[in-house]
Amino acid sequence: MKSEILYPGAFPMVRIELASGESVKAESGAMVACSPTIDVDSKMEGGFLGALSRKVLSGEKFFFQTLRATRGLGEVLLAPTVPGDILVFELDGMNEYLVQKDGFLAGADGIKIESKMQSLSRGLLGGEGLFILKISGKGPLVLNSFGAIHTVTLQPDQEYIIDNSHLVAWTATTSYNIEKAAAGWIASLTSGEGFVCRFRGPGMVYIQSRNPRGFGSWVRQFLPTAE
Amino acid sequence: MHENPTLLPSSPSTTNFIPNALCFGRNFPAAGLPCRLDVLPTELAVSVSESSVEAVPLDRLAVKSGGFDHDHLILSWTADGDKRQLFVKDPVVIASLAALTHAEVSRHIARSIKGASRTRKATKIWIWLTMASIMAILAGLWAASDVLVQMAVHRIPIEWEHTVGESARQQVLMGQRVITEGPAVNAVQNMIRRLAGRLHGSPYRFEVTVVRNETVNAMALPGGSVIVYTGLLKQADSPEEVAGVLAHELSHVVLRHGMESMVQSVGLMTMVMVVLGNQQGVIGALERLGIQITTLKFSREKETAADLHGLHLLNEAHISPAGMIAFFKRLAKNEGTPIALLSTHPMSAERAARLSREASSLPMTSPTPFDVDWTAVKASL
Repeated sequence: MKSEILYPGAFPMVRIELASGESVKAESGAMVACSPTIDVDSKMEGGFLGALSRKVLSGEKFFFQTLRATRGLGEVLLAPTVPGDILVFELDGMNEYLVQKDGFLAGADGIKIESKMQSLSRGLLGGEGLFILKISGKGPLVLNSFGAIHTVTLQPDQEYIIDNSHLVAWTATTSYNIEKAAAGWIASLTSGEGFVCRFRGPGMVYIQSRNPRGFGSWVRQFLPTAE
Repeated sequence: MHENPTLLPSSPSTTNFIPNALCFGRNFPAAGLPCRLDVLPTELAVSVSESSVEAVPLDRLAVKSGGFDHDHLILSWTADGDKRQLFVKDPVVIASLAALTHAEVSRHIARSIKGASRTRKATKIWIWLTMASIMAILAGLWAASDVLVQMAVHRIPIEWEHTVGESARQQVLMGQRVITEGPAVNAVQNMIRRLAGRLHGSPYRFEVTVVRNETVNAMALPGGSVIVYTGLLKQADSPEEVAGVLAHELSHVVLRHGMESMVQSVGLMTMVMVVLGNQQGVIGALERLGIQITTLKFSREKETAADLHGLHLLNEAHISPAGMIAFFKRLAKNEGTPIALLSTHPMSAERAARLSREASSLPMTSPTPFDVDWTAVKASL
């Protein structure tokens, strides 16, 4: 499996080359085009209940599709729904990644995806919802973001504060707490930041340069209202 | 990116170097360097490759639990002024660490393992509590949905009901031949006047439309529009029988059954929106559903409520309830024949019997017969 990011920037696509017999897992609906040698079958990762829990609990699409090069080598073009960067990196089998729902675009077939429940305070205040995806295994993983992806690297015990709406993914070796952005409640809410995540290393945190929720409320003001 | 046909290699390359931990430090990659940890009686052997092995004496080790699920054991030490951390998840390695006889380290490890399992247990309890409370709230909402519907309907202004009813009326009358004058219209208007006159303080304006249609049907739409089909008038043997059906239909309006059913069909969210005061947009949804009101089946409870309310209404208007009961009984016999009124109002002997029982317990009022030549009315159709 080889991958290449086409048109990097706001509207990228990822081209994945599959050798004969190889397959790739992708978010359903992400496929743009593929060679005639590729077969598409939707697969409920983790069985029906697993898929259901992922759909209901984390808001992730019900099915992942598996694109398999059954009749010889071929290529697949994949694109996310929202404008923004695509990031490809290799899972080494040791590191586990926690990915905010909607952040997953594709992954090698050997990658395992689970829905994880966060602690209550993180889930309710964190802004990524009560459930997130835990991705482990070995092979390439493709993430997408809203806006550009910025990587934050944290040394052991190094701390960094991140607005919760900007989180894309982070390694399981980091830990974080939800806290108010400012010292007081009023200041926290009026500053427009509300809650933030205090991450503690070691590990990596991937953040997106745009806030989907903020964009949503910005767009809303231009939508015609019903009479 | 690498080429890998299976993507799940069981052993990396040809060496024996199989990583079982992640090592962090100033000169290591930020995501951690896969390394191999071997537990020896007095020290740990940490190798980042086959050739480079670092020995860490157990005395210099600090131990705690961590990671997203609290399932990692974190071993920290300082080497050459650099703080190093080792994240271990492999149960085999954790077991061999726990089996160490080094007093200090084994105490720390035991405490960390206990602490981690306590945290995990607490998280699990929280998850179950959250699930249970969500279930309880949903069950509560389910149980209280009738009350919520009523609350929501109560918040809907009467003008909205008129709007919804009016759009439904236009839909029903589309392509129908409306009779605007004549003995039948006068007779039905007289009945509505007598019945509506007893509905003290009702905010509804009852207006009746007679439609030339052989279907045996009558309906009252939200807001008070009443539509009577000539087929129904032809089936009736007396004005009291028609008045009985009208009393039942007016009761549906007064009890706001149509609105309740519509709100029920647009869903819980709409109800919540209406109850919370966000009423904009709901009217549009209701209007779009307007046509459904004409084919809406009410629940058995609502039919019974409308029967009883109608019966009282007849009694107060000094109209003999015998007509209503007789008409229902006759329709019950016809059950199975295609009469529209029956498809929305299933008649049964039981229902007529209940009405008879209820009628006999009503306070006696002397019925005033309608001043109308019913044979002439029927002949005019």
